[in-house]
Amino acid sequence: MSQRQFSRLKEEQEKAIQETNIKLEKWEQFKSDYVALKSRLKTLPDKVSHDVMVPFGSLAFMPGKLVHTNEVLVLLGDNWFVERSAKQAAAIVDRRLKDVESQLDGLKQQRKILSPRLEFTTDLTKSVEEQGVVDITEEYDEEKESLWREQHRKRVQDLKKKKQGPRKSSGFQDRSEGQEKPMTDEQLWERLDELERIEAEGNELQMLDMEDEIKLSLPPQSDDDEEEEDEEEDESSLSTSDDSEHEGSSRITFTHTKVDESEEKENSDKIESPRDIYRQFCETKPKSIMKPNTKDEQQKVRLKKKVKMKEDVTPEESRQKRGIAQGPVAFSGTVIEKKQDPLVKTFNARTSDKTVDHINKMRDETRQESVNVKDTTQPRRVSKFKAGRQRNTEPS
Amino acid sequence: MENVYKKLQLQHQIREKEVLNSELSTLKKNAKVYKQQQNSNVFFLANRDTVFSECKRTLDSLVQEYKEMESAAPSEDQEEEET
Repeated sequence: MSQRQFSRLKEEQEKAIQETNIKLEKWEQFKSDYVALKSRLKTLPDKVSHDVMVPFGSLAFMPGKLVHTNEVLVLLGDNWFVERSAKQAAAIVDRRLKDVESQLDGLKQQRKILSPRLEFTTDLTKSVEEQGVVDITEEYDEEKESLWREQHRKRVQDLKKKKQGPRKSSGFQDRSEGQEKPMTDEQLWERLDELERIEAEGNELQMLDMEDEIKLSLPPQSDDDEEEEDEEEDESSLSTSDDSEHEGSSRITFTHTKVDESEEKENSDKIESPRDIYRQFCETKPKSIMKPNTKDEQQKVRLKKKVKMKEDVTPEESRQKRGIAQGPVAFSGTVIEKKQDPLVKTFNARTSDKTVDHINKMRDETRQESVNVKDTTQPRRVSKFKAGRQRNTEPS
Repeated sequence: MENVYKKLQLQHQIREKEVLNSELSTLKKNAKVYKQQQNSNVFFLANRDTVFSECKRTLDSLVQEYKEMESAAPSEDQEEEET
C-alpha cells in the first residue's frame, strides 16, 4: 500500500474514534446530570419550601420559593408528563441511569474495538518504512487475461475434438480395438505434453480444467442397454434413441413408443383399472375435467340445477343419449326414491355430488305419480347403488 | 494530540475554579449563595461554607491532575520527537 493510502486509512480510523469519544462525552454528561438530579430529589422533600432564584426569561432571576416540594412532574417523552412524588421520581431516575450506563458500555466497547485498528495501521506504516515489509500482490492485466482465456478455450476445444474423434464411429461396442490403440497413444503423448507445459507455467487452474474435461469425455456406459419395452396392456415404454451417443457424452433422450391397443380391447373382459371401464362402456374418450367448460359441460351443469325427470327414459336410451357404449350395463335402473322425512338428511343428501338424486327425490315426493316408491316400511337407509341392484333383481 | 487537548481543557477548568474560589472568599458571612441545578435554569439556595469548601476541593484535585499530566507529558513528547 502506498503512503497516501495508509494516511487515508489512518484518517478514517481516527475520525471514527473521535466520533465515539464525542458520544461518550455526551453520555457521560447525561449521567452526571441524572446523578445530580437524583441527589436533588432526595433533598427536596426535606424542607417544606426551598429558597430559589427563579429564572425570569433567559437572563434575569428573581428570588422565590419552591413550595410543593414533593410533587414532581416527570417527562416521559413526547410531551407526556406524569405526576410523581419525589421518591418515585428518584426511582425513575434510577432506571434511566441504568439505560445510560448500558449506552456508555456499548460506546466504550466500540472504542476498544477501534483503537487497536489504528494502532495496527501505524505499526504497519512503521514496518513498511523501516523493515521493508511488502504486500504480496498479484499482477492483473485485463488484456493478458482475456488473451489467455481465448487460448485456453481453443486448447480445450482441440482436446475435446481429439477425444470425440475416435468415438464418433457407430457405437461403443462396434469400435474396433485396433483403431483405438494408436489414437489413445497419440492422445496420451499430447496430454503429457500439455501437462508438462502447464507445470512449467506453474498454472494450476489449467490443470483443474483439464481434469474436468477428462471427466466429461468419459463414455456414457449404459446408453444402449436402456432400451426396454413393456408389452403389458396399456403401458407406454421408454426407449433411448441411438442419437444419444452421437450428440455428446452426457445426453440421454427418451421417447414414448406407441403400443398396439387393438388386440387388447376385445380380449379382456376383466376390469382391472378405471381405464378398462372406460374402454368397455365408453365410446368417446373421457374428457379432462381440468379443462375449461365446453358447451356440453355447461349444459350438464344447467341440467343439474333444472332437474329433468328421467323416469321415462330407459337405461339403454339414456345411455345412448350420453354416448356410452352399448355393452353390459354398469348401472341400470332408475333412481328409487324413498319417502323420507325431509328434515332428516340422508347420506346422499349430504354429499354434494349426489344433488341430482336428492333433488329428484324431492320432486318425486311432490308429484307422487309415476314414481317407483320403495317400500316405506323399510326404515333402513340404502345407498342408491344397492337400491339399483335390488331393483335389478326385482323386476327380473 | 489528545494530550494537548486535555491539557488545555484542564487549564481552563483550573482557571475557572480559581476565580470562583477568590470570589467566594470575598463574600460576606450572611450572603446567599445559589447553586444551579444541572441542565436547568433553576438555582437552589445553598450553604455558603459548604459551597466554598467544595470549590476548594475540586480546585485542588484539578491542579493535581494537571501536574500529573505535566510530568507524564514531557516524556511522551520526547518520544514523538525521536520518531
